[in-house]
Amino acid sequence: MVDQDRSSPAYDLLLEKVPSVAVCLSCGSCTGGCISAEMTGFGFRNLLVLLKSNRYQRLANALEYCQFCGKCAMVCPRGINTRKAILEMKKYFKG
Amino acid sequence: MSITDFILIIPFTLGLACLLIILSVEYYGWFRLLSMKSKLKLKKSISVRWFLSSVKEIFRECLLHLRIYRQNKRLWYMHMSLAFGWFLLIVAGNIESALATGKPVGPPWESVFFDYFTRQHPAPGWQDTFFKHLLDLLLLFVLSGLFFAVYKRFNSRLLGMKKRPRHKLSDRLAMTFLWFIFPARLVAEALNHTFYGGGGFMTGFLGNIISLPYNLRFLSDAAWIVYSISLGGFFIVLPYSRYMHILTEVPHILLMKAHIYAQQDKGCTQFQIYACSSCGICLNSCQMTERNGNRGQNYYFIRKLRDEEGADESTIMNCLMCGRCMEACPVKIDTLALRMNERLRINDQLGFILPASGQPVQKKSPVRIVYFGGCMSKLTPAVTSSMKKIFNHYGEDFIMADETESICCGRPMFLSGQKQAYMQIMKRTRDMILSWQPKLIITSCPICLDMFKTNYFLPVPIIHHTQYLNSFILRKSHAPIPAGPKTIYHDPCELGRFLGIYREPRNVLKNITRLQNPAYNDNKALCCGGSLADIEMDPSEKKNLAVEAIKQLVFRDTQQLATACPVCKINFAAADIIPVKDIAEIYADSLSSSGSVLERITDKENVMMY
Repeated sequence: MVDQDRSSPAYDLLLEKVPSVAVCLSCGSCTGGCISAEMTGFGFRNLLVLLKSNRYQRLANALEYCQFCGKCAMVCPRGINTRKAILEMKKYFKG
Repeated sequence: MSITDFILIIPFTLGLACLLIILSVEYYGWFRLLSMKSKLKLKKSISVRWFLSSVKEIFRECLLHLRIYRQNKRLWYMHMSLAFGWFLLIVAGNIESALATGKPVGPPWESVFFDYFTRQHPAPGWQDTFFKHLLDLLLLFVLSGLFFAVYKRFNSRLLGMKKRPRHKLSDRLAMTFLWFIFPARLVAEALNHTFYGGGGFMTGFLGNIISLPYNLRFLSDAAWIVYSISLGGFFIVLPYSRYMHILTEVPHILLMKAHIYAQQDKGCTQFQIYACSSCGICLNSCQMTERNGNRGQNYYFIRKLRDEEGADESTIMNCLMCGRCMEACPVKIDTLALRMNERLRINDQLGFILPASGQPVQKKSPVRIVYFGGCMSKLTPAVTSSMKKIFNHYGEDFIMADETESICCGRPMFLSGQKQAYMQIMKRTRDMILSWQPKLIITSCPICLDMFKTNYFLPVPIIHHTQYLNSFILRKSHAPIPAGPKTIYHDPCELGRFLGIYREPRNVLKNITRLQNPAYNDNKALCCGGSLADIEMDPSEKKNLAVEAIKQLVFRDTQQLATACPVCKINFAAADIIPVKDIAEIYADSLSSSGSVLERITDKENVMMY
């Protein structure tokens, strides 16, 4: 179950490094353009939802499927630097 | 030797000794860091031919700075007069000293302070007059360069520099010592001639103007000591400043001529980092300089690499890797390899699972042409549908390789420094392409093309779609359209600078549009800003770069911007200034308007039949 009251330390840390993630609308453009999403079901917005709701283990697995092509950043109507956000998340969960 | 003589030679000699010791230790350490492969390569390269070509290159670039000459004449004069002028001063001073003493080799201070030691008894005959005038001429040459260097600090635009690099403290200290050396020598020689007579056309003239009583002759000694301190100080600070390049350029050229590259070679990387002269020419060519402040540009990146703490992550990742700095670099530093080394160091261990990697690639029935649109073509389907139309038009046996399965060539992953992950993607994509046993591979993405050509080792010819289209133009299978729209072609970085494909896209466009010539083309072409190599920059900043690039590219009457890369197309289209089309789209449109020669012949035959 999703607990919205619980804060997500990893999300707070990501916000410091990539402040633009705060403006995500969850519109799904990123998922629509993602080449991995077709096979795995994960798009950038899914990753953010997992991050915000503290489902870190699932998120760490999902992150490993990203092919880093950057189309999510190109289609994002809010101009979020998704590649940097994904790289930062990968580093956070690796460490 | 008097006490004054001793005080005079100590700073210079001490500085020179320190410099030589530090250089020997550093160079030995870096040489040991060279990979075994590089050492073997170097050993194999040692030959008279290698040596002579290296000497030629050292003369052309370390002294004459010919690469800067091709870019900006005033900047070239400043660099050349300081480097070549100082070199000639040293050579002429040594010849003068050797002729006067009769010994070909003497203590270094003898030639440096030659006028000081021989002021009581100048050399007989023509020698003294000749060398005094010659050395004055050379000193004037160096001082003129120094004047430009000082002026550049206040108005760098006069010397063609958009932005002045911000040097660190040790660089400024070394620069101060350097700037003192030549005026100190001028004053020392002028005072020498005030009290002891003689002198060339400049120092003698100044010496005559300065009228001082003989009991103030200690001023002459003091001026010589200031000269010695300036030299010694410069030598001591040199290894910790950007002026290390003066000497390190020599081993860098020797390695370059032995075809030893910085990519994943720690030793060669060290030589290249210190061979960088921090001249700031790369700042001039970097499109981020005006927009992005002093962040990821190579000047600051390499400067940070020289520091103990190294470059921070933001600097490493904040670069478009368009290669414009590498083209402009007068020292030919492989800036892209240096940056890739750092990216691999920080990101290579991150985990990766290839989606659908469990499913083996099925063998398919053979096809003549495999067309790989690249993952970016998912966002530009007009390119792939145009290519499909072209293939169908010419009746080709083809397959759109990534139409059903989305796959990536792996370059974005590689550029982020995750090489191990890239290897997995590469293997899968390579197997998938070869499963059709093609005779020819065509891609419309220069990013994929670069990867296929340099890393994939495919046993089949790989061409860009513009090369494929050009083959029809050359075979005259496509009738020229003289009244097409006025078009500007933008050279994508990977296609132009990296792979050298400039001619083919232009030839296609020349035949189907009215092609205009932009100010920035060929190896000076601008980056669209959408480069996948930059992970730090926000999409809005990338868009700003695209706007700037379009402004510099197009003319008032340009009707469309043509490109040959899906990333450039996406980024330029986002700027929303001018219609942007891929060459494939323009070509496909022209097919419907003109029809091919083959098609027209067939039509005629049909008419005749009826």
